[in-house]
Amino acid sequence: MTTLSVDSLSIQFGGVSALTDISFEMTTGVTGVIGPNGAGKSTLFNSITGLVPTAKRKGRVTFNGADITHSRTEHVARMGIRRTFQNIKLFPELTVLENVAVGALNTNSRMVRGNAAKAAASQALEELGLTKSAKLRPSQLTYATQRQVEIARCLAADPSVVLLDEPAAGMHADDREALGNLIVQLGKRLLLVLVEHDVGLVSKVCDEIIVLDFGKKIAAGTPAEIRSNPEVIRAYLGKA
Amino acid sequence: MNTSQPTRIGQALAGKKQLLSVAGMIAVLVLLAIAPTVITNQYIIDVLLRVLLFAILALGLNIVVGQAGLLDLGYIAFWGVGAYTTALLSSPRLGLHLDFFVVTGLSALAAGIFAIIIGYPTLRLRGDYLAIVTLGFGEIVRISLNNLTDLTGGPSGIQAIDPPNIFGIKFGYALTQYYYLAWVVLTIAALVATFLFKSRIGLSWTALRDDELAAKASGIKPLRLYLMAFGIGALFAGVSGSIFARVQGSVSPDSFVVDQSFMVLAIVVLAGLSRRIWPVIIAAGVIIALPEALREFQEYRMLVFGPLLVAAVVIRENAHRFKRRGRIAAVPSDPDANVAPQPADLIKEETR
Repeated sequence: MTTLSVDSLSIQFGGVSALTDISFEMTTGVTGVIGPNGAGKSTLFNSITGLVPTAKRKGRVTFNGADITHSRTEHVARMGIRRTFQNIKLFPELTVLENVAVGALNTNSRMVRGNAAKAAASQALEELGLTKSAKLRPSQLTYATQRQVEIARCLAADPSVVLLDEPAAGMHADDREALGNLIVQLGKRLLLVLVEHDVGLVSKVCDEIIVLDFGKKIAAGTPAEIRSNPEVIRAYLGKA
Repeated sequence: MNTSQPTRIGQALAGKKQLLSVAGMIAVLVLLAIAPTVITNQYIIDVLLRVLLFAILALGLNIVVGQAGLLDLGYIAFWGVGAYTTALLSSPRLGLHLDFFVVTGLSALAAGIFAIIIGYPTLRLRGDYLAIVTLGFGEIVRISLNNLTDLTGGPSGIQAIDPPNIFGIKFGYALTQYYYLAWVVLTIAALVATFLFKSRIGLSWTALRDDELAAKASGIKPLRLYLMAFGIGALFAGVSGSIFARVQGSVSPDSFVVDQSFMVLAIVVLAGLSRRIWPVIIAAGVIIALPEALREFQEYRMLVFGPLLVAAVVIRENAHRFKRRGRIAAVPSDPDANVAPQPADLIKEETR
């Protein structure tokens, strides 16, 4: 069983507290992180994946018991924690297959040769039904497909944790439906964390939801618990 | 949103392009191989020989700038290190006359090691900062060659470098011998470069250049790969420099001035920072041969060369525009534009 735990994590940018004393533990399954703009959702992802300067991080992040609070981005990735980005970050000069193969090149378990990486990439593309796009470049794909390619790049590494930063942004209702099904499927074998604005999607696919507001954790629980939580309603609607 | 489904045509084109780039490389190399049999003018062979040497340099710099995206303005220093290593190991200067292959190998190695020594502290910089630091290092090397008189012979350099002796074939003064030597080295360099671009290292370099953050998040260690690009690029320069020293029979610091770095960079840019080999060789031909063709303009030569170079790059860039590669930025900038209202509309619109 994979566990990712965050223990009293605080992130301070100058005078602004991006995250204040956040603690939670996640295990295999789908966890959603929601909250209004500036709540600290992306900062949370960035601090887990080593993208926040070390000096600004306080508290502890552990992955399967190993302290990764101060690990570099590439080390975190090699340990099996992969992520997507809010603004799609694919490699424009590489084909879809190569994009995904880059994800498979570097894992902690072994040095992967180019061909083996491409084989892993083909498999990941097949799982997401993207085989037809393998030889195209990202710019030739729709927005929704680009997001899927980013997910494929994570999966090609055979990760144990995948952090999805707004995977449904810019997607049509049909695509969202398909994405929801994919997330549920992946949640059966991976620890999946989802930052998403689409509360409908989040409550459908997540086993547990964490709500952030102004860098603080204001609630955590099952989707049903979250929907009826007065704190959450206040944060979202600004009512008492 | 357009092009919802990838087309078969797109896939077919991708395969064809690869074939064309290999065919192009072979065609250019074959043409260069038969050139001396057709051309009898020694002056033209001499120019072509310099084209070959600069093509090797450009293939190396193409790895650094084109593949890894590191702007190196002091690249010619590695050429100098290669040339001087050869000069020291096979001339009366130190009284050493080592075997051709040993000297060429050591020259490449010296350039590679030198690149790693320079690269380790400087490759933490990016873009303009790296450009300025490498420009500085390039000059430091030239000035050192000029002033370490005991070792390098100072401004007058090192003379009487042994002509190559390869498998018992002793080189004389025939230019074509050196031409074919350079041709063989270029062919090997082209094959190595092709192999590198296809390898996991080449894939990682392109990923780093395209998006360093996403590359790191995929587990790529940037410094290690940047050092490899710098070092491997310098190996190419070291070999080219070694052959250059043999061709000249002497070396002096004037050959390694910063203008030469810009020449090599101009070749790489004109070739479009390509993953293909043949544009680099063709561009080397244009950049090296053009000033020669402009000799009749005498002192206004460079004045004509400059605008022609700018025109070439502009034309190249625009030809490019009609071909592939729209960038990611071409994706609709407002991703939420087409999305049906969701319960999440309770939440203020994301602006970041």
